[in-house]
Amino acid sequence: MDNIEEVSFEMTQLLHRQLVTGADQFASLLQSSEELVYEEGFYKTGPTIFGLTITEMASSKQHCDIYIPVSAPIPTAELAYVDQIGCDSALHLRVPFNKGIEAGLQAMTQSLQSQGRHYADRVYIALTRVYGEYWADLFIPLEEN
Amino acid sequence: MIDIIEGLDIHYRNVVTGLLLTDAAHLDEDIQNLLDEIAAEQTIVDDYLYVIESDFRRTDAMTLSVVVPIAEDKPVTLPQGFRFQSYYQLLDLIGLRLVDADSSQLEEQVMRLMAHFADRDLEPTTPLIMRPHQLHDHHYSELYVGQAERQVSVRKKVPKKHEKRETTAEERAFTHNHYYRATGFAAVGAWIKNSFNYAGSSSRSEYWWPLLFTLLYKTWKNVH
Repeated sequence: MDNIEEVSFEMTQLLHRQLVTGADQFASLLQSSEELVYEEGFYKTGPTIFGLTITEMASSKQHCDIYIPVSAPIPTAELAYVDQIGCDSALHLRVPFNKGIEAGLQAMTQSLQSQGRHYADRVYIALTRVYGEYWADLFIPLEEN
Repeated sequence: MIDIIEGLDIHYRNVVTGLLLTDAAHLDEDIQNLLDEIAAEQTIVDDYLYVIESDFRRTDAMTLSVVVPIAEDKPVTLPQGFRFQSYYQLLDLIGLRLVDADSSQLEEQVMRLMAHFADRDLEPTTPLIMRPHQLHDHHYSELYVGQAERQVSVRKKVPKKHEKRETTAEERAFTHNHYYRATGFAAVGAWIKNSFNYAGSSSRSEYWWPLLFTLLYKTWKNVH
């Protein structure tokens, strides 16, 4: 895939929830994360981000971190506050959310392995809605060789 | 009549956000100073926007989040109090655009947006957002508010209003108010001690508790 690039990735001021779930639940988790209302004095300021373990991706259940960027550092009863996530150097690829995440991840890890690059067993997936359709920005944090 | 458009989104890649305490008289100057501070180390690439975090009807003490898109995917250095994020996104906004509007026209259109919420039984998902834009000697002002249809299931996601929640240090710092969310006698104490605190914001409990005590005191004085 031609559009794989090395970038920096950083998100600040987020609400966080961790759970064990299947990939088939991602769409409904995403939908519920979009439904925050401005009742407690904060609002959503960025795309919902999933943090997943790459080697668990093929499993029926996997550990999933959900991050929701918000305007103020105010935790809720269900969501904890996290100041920052991201990495100085990550491999990035944008793919359609409903098809392409698995193939995209495979292309990214193959590319890294062929170059002999070290990378974390972690992927951040930022889900951006453009004209009604979700796109997944995949970020694999790179480690020093 | 200016059309109110529904279903608008705002997307930026790489933004710096700064919090600004100002008033209507110094708004433009203070925003320009903030932009200059960011531009000293980063490259500003698109129109900034600001979110009025305080009560939009109060123009003498305004708290704004100013969101500035930059070219760098990693900021060189950020001034104190600024923060960076790789993605900024506001979805499902309603909005309108004014051309060369004065403050009274702006105010009128803000009230129209608010009335739109009541008419359609919508629930706000953001405060009021302003995005100024200069093009061919014309000054455009875009106004936005996030909107969602009222749903019972949505309300379940946040703590109920009557639930007492401990205030965090971050909340107290963010609101510039050591007594934020105080209740009962503590709210009355906060009311007195914050008399000369002109920054930040207060919770509703800090308004209603002193009012209740004042009413009770007046009633007691009338009886005796």
